[in-house]
Amino acid sequence: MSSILSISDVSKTFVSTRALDDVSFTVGPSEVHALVGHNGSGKSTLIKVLSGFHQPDADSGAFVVDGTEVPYGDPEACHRAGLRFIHQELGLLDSLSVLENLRLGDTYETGPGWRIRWRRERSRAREILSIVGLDLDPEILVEELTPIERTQVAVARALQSESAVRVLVLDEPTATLPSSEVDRLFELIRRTIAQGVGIVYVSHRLEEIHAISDRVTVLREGRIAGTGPSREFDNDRLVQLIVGDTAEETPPIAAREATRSRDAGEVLAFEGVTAGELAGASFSVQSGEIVGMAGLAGSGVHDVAAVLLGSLELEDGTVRVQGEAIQRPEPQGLRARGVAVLPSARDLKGIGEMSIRENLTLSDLKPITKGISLDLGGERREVRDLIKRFDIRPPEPEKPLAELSGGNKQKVAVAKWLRVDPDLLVLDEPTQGVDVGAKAEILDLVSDAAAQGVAAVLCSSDLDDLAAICSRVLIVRGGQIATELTGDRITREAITEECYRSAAAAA
Amino acid sequence: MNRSEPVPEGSGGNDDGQGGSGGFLGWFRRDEGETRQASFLERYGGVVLLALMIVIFTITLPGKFLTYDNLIGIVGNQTIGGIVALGLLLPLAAGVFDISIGGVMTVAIVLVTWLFQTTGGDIPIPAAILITLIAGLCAGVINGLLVVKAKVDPFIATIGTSSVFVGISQLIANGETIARDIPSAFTSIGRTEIFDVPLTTVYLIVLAIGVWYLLDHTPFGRKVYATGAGREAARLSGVPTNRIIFTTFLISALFATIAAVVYAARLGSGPPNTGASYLLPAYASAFLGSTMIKPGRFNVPGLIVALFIVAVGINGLQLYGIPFWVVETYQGLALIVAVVLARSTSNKSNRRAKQKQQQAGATA
Repeated sequence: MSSILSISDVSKTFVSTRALDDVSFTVGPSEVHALVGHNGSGKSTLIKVLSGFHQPDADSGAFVVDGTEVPYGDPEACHRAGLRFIHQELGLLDSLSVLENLRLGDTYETGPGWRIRWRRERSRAREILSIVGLDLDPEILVEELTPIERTQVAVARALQSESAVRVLVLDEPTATLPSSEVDRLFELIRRTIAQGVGIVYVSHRLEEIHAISDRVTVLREGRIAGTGPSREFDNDRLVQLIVGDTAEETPPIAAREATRSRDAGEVLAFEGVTAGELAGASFSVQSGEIVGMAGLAGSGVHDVAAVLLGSLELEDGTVRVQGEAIQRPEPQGLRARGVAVLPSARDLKGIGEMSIRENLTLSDLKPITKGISLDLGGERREVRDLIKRFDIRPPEPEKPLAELSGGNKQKVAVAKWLRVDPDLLVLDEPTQGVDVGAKAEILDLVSDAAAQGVAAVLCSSDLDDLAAICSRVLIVRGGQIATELTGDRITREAITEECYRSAAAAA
Repeated sequence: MNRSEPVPEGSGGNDDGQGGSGGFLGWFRRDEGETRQASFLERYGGVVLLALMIVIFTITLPGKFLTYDNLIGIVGNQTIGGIVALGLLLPLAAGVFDISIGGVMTVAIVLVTWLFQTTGGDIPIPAAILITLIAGLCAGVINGLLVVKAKVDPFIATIGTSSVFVGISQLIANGETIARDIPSAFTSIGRTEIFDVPLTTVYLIVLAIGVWYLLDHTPFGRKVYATGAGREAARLSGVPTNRIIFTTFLISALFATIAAVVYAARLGSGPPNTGASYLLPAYASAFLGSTMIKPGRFNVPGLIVALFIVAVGINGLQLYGIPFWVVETYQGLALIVAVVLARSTSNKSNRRAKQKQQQAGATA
C-alpha cells in the first residue's frame, strides 16, 4: 500500500522504561489513521518522535515521508517534510486577531518604510481561512471565536505554508469541543483529506474513531496491541485491546465494607449538577465510605472538586452537604459544614513561602486562638504532634513548604485538612507526582480516616489507588455518573473498560 | 530526608500560585518561592548598617550628630511618614498595592482643617477628628470595593482613586492653604512634649506595637500573610481572601488619615497636596524593611529599622552640608537598592536550592 508517512520498528527507551517497543506506523494519502491507548501507552511518545522532539533508540528503522528519509530528532526537518501537529490546546493566542495568529512567528509582507501591507495580508488570511471553510473577518480576536472556529483557525494555520503539507496530527481535537460541534470537526477533516493530506487522529472517544477513521492502531505499554481497518474493530474489541490481558487482575481487597462508626447518613450529594464538563451529574456519599471517581480527560471527573472549591460556577442542579443545599460552594463555608477539599494543582495545595507550621494550621486557626491572639506555644506543640502523626519529612516545623518533596507536600495537605476533623474529605489526584512509598502512606491516611467514620471522595487517574482503598467507584462519562462498580468488580481493568465504553453503548 | 524525586514545582509552579497578586508585587514576590531560614547577616544586616552609620556620623560630625536635639529631631521627623508606612504594610503583606495613601492623606489634612475654618473653630475637636477618620475609612472602602468587587487591578484602582481624592481636596480648599480658626487645643495634639519627648513619637510607638501585634500575633495577621504569599492557595485553604484584602485597604486608609490629623495638628494649617510626598518614603521603608529581621515578609521591626536607616542617612548627609536635592535622590535610591537586595538574596537561595536538587538528583 502506498503511504506518505511510514516509520518502522521504532523503539524509545527512557532511563528505565521502554516507552516504545518496535512500533511501526504508516499513514496513506487522504487517510485518517486513529491512534488510541491509555495514559502511558506510548501514544504521546510516538507523536513526539514524529515531531522530532524525541530521538528514538539507535536500532530503530527508517522514518520516511513521501519517499524521502527524514532524520530523527530534528523538528525542522519534520516540518520541512510536511508534518504538522495540532495539540489539544491549539496554541492560539486569545488576545490577538485571527490574522495575527495565522502569522505568529512568521513575517508580514511589507512595503516601503517597513509598513505592513495590511490589505494584502487580510485578503491572504481570508484565502487561507476559506481552505477550512471559515468565512470571517480576519481582524476579529481569537477570544471571540467559538471552540470549533478556533480549531478551524488552528488547522488553517497548520495548512497555510508554502511547502505542501503531507500529514496533519490532531491530538485530542474533541477534548475541548462541545459534542454538538464534533460533526463540524469531521467535516473539516474530510475537507482536509480531500487535498490529499493524511491525518493521524488521537482520541479517547471510541465512537469518534468509528465515525471518522479508516484505520486504527491501539498502543499498549509501548507496543502495538492491534492495528487494521476501523470497521473490523468494534467497541468491545477496542476496549479489550486498550486494557490488555484481563487474566492478571488485581486481587480484590477483603475489607471493602464501609465502616460506619458515625451516624450513617448522607454527607454529600450532587443532584443534577451542571458545571464545567459536568452535565447533570448525580451521586451521593455516605459517612464512612471511600468513594472513588474515575473518568477520562474531559469527562468532568475533576470538576467535582472544582465545583466544591468554588472554582466553577454552578449552572444547574443542587449540591447538598449534610442534607442542606449549598447555593455557592466555597472552601471556607464548606469547612464550617465539615467538608474539606484538596485541590489537584500542585501549587494550590499549600503556600510554598510559608512554613510547614503555618501551612498546617492555616485552614483552622480557632483551636490555637486565645482571646484575640494566636497561642504560638500551643501551635508549636500541636504542629509537632501533627508532623509526628503524619510522618512529615523533614520534621522541621519552620521549613518552608516549597522545600519539601511532592509526597511530603501532599502529606501536609492531608494533615492540614484531617486536623479540622472533617466529616468528608474530597481528594482530587492526591497521589499525582508522588513516589511509591509516600503514595502508600497517603492512601493509608485516607483509609484510617475512613475507618473512624470520615467519608472520602477520591478522584484519581491512578486506577490502582482506586482499586486499593475504595468501597465503590463511580465512573464519570460525558459529565454524568455512568456506572457504579462495587465489591469484587473494582479492578483496574473493569474501571478502564467502563471509562472507555461509549455513552451510546451504555444507553 | 526524602529526596528521591526532583522537586521542580517550587520554582516553576509558583507563578500560578501568585494568581492575581499583581504586576510588580508579583514579580517581587515570585522569587521568594524558595524561602529559607535566613542567616544572621540577612536578618540583622540592616541593624548593623544603622549602627555603623550612627558610629561614623558620631565620629565625623562631633557635637553635631549625637546631640539630644538632633536625635529627637530625627525621630520626630519620622513619625508622620512612619504612621503612613505602618498602614501600608498591611496591603503589601496581603499582596496588593495601595498607591492612594498620599491622596487619602491630602484630602484628610484639608478636611480636618476645613472643618475648623468653616465652623469658625466651633466644632468640637473630637467631632472633627472623628468625621475625618470616617471619611478616611470611606476612602478605604472605595479602594477595597474596586479591588475586591469590581476586580480592578489594585495598582490601577488606587492610582485612580488617589487622583480623585486630591481633586476632592482641591474642591474643598479651592487650592489654598486653610489656616483660619484652627484651635490651639487641636494643634497641641501635634506639638505637646512629655519630658522633652514629642507626643507624636508616642503615637508612632503605640501604633507600631499595634500593627506588629496584629500581623504577628492574631489570626487576622496570619491570614494576611497567607493571602499575600499565595492568594488562590490561601482561598482554597479556607481563608476569606477577599475580606482580608478589603480590610487591609481600610487599615491603610485609616493610618494615612491618622497621619494627616497629626500633620495638620503639628503644622496648624492645611496646605494643599502634601500627602504625595509621603508616598515614596513609605514604599522605600516598607520594601527595605522586608529585607531584614524577617526577610521576605513585610514586617514591623524591619520597617522601623529601615525608616531610621533612611532618616539617619539623610540627617547625616544634611549635617555634612550636602544640598537639598540629595534627599529625594537618596530616598529613591533606597527604594531601588531595597528591591534589588531583596531579589538578589532570594536569587542566591534559589541557586542554593537548585544545587541541592541537582546533588540529590545525582545521588538518586
